[in-house]
Amino acid sequence: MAVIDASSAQLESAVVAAGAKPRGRWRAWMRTWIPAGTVIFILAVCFLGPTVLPIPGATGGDVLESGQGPFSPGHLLGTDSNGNDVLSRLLSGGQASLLIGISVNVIGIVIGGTIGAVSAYVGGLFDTIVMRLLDVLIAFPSLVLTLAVAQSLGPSKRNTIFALAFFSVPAVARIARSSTLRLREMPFMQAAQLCGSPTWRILLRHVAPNVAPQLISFAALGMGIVIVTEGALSFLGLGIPAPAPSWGNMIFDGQQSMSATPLEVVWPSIALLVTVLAFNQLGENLRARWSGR
Amino acid sequence: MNASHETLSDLTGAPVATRGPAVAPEGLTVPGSRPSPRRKAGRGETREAVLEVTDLRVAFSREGRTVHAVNGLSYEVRAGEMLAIIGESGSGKSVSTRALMGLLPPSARVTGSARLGDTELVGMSEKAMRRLRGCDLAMVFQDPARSLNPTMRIGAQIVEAIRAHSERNGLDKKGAQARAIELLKLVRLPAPERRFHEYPHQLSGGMRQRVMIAIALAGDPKVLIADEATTALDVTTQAQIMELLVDLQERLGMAVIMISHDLGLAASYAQEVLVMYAGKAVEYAETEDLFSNVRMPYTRALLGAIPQLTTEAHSLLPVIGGQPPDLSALPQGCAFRPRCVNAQDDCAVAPTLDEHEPGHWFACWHPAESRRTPAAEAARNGSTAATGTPAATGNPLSKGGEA
Amino acid sequence: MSVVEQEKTGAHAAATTEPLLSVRNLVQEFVSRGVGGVKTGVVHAVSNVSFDLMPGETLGIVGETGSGKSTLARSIIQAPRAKSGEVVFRGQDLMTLSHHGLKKARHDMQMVYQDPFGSLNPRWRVEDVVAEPLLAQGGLSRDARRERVHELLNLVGLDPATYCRRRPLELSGGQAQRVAIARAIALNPALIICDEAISSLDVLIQAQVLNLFEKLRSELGLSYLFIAHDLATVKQVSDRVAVMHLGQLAEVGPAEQLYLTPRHPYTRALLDSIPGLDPETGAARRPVPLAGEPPSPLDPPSGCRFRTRCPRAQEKCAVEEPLLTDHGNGHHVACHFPLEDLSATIPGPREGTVGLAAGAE
Repeated sequence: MAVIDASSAQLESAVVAAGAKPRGRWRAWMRTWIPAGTVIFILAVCFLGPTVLPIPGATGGDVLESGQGPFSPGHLLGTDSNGNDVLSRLLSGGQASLLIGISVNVIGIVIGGTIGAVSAYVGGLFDTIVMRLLDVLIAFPSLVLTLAVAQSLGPSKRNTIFALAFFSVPAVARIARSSTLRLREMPFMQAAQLCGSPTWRILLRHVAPNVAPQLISFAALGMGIVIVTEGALSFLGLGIPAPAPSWGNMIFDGQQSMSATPLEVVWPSIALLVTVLAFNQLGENLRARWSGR
Repeated sequence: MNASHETLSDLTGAPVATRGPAVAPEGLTVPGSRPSPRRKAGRGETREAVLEVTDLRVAFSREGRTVHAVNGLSYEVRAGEMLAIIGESGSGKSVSTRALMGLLPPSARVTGSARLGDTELVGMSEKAMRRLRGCDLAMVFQDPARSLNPTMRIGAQIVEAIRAHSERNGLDKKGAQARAIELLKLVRLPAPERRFHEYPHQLSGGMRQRVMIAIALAGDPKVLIADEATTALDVTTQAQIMELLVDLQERLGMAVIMISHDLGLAASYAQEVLVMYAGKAVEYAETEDLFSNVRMPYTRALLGAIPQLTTEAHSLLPVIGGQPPDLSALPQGCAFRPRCVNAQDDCAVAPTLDEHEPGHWFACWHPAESRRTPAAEAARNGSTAATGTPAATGNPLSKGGEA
Repeated sequence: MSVVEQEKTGAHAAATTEPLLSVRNLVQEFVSRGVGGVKTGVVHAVSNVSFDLMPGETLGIVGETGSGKSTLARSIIQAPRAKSGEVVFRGQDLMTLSHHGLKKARHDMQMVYQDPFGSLNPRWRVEDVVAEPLLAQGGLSRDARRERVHELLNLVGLDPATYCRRRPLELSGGQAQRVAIARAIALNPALIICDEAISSLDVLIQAQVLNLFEKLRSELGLSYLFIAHDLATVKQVSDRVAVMHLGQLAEVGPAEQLYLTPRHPYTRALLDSIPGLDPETGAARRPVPLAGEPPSPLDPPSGCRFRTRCPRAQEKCAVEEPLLTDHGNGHHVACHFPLEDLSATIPGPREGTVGLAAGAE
């Protein structure tokens, strides 16, 4: 039984921290704020840009203006084969992709997290049934499942979100469940029950705050996967219906004319890359920060 | 309590265990060990000092602040003797021994000197350290469950330790296996041939600790460091393991450094005791001297805070308030000053560890009264007071407060 | 007369006082499973334990690893419910209560855990931690709750202004344990179960928390079930002490008497294992180790479970399980060949001065 004391904890963490790379504060600040700043910038530009910036709309372009290169007058990034302004499509497409990504993750955390946590806490038969159902969902090849859902519902933003949520909910539920199982053994949980706290309050105020950080960082890491999968759906005609842009469908459409106009693929790909990197790094930072507590 | 020295064994006619501190027979040589140079021992005795630590300091930097874990530690350990280093958490006791073993992260700054025989340990390269570790200097840790690889059989782990020094002992795989079983017998593990093939989880805590000791002994070390080695064990198992350590010490002429927070353990087994506080040695003496005449107020506080079998139930223990100091912001002067009953203005200057009485070092300007004055000696012979506890001396240590 | 009846009319309890807690024949077992969920054995964690705890009394429960003392504590608070037996607390058998009834009964019985940081939610503030039981019980306005929280923090020696807004990680081990204690006394319980409550703390802090337990005992009239492995610590706070070995009670009795004249060989062995100085001569007292390994709770020895390590074991010990028998003055021993009265050869606690008797951590 090791002796616990703030001074020994202090010493231990000093040893651990000393073992890590001994960099100054500046680097740590950069490591946090570069990805966070990037994410904020991307979100701002994609959601506010199309309305605020003086650029033409994402659709309804004139075919006569098609194929213009970057830095053409009125079209910063040129136009695509349909005459639509690429920058505008990029921003609007970003809006769509990010909206889908964020929505899917939020649904995943809320529904998946709740199912997993409650199931683990309550235990017993309820837990067994719920977990077997989730196992079935996970066992399905995810893309096939998503396709099936999307096909039966038809292409639209809302249905895409719903289909992708089938991915996300079981995965988050699993994580929430294992986290809650670990938490259940902690003395403070037993102390809470001994105090007489009702189950709902325990779940809300004891379980949720301790499980949520892990889920949020998982979600941040999952953003990239969701956006790319949405692209795959769009490619198959099941995601965002044309002519509305999303990064995913821009990439897949642009692939077809890649030899002629490579830039049509390049712009959304770069945007996607930067976004996914930023979210991944943010997720990693959050995870590192919260797992230290 | 048990003053008649009767024990369970006595009552059944079984042999009575020896009392008193263990003494290694002089001139004992063990095959494979190298003779150490004779050093001047500070007590007027002529025993070889196998390890001599001088002004050891260890500092880490953390978030721009420096944590001074060890601030000038000096001591000597002699062959066949046990030194107990006693301190609470944050005293630097574990950090100092890990510094000797080179087990601190690379960003730790270690200064000072630690001579193992002729070899200087501070500043040694990792490569050289690896040859030394387990060979001349070995360590047993607190939690045997975590120190043993759960996926490897016991025998394999010992053999690994033996083979790590194959250039020294020249043993091949078969020889190493035989030696491993020998070591298991040495540490009195029951059914060693069978245990050789078992996994750690199949053994009890006490048995696992024996295996750890066997691994530590694989290289015939001159110094064994037991870092809270019995803290996680039951008291009956602890008694077994300590008896084993003492026996091994006698047989192999090994020096043992026992790190603990348990003064009782030090009193029973160690020849010398060193008390640490805030990275420094604050009191250092032979066991009997120290416990019969505790001078340092911190040591007194420690002794007073331990519940004893003979005090009345529901009595309040004498406590001191405050907390151990923040090692990254050590105050000027004596680190114990904020909590000390005897503190006065001149404690703003840090006291040095001096030999205020023959064989008894402490670092304090205003220590507790000595028992060695003629008047005190006379008074002592009149009563049976033997140990320095507040109840006996009326030392007012009560200064209630928050933890 | 049965043990129970003797206890009730014993010298240390008024004949009309009902025990606060009365445990009878408590059994708790765990199924140990191997790979694939196959049952590989049964751990006999608590086997047929019976004892009483009077109001205002502190009963210390001492035992080593595997003795079942922590499991006993958890069985008493019904988390999880024991396999069989009776736990009568304030006249109600907790084993038969419904979930709702149990919740109500538990207001009067609280627990302090070994890991001070584990027993506090790391994301909560101190004031929320201490207020939790008040909130669960209901009936207090927010201001009244805050006032009570301040009162409780003061009782445990923490200044509310400094500590209310802090989180557990900003506290030391001793402070965190004080917060846990403040939470435990929030609803004015009659009984507090301390499950190794000070084992993880530094020596000096242990003393402070022990003193706090004493202070609360006298100010609030609490009863304690004090579970620990350190004999000296247990004696400091207990009126009576029970020694557990491998799920069974080996010996129960008044603290002074039990430590001075232990009757069970296991108790004697435990006392002999404590390192320290001899109070008479000041010389080092070397513990005499008990030979052999502790048996596994998966496969306890037949008859007396201590017989494999007991130097006094005879044939009878393997065949017949010893029951707790009264040796006078509330001192009960479960042994076929208990140690004889040795008080004539050992001086009382006031003669000679104190020695060191710090047990293992």
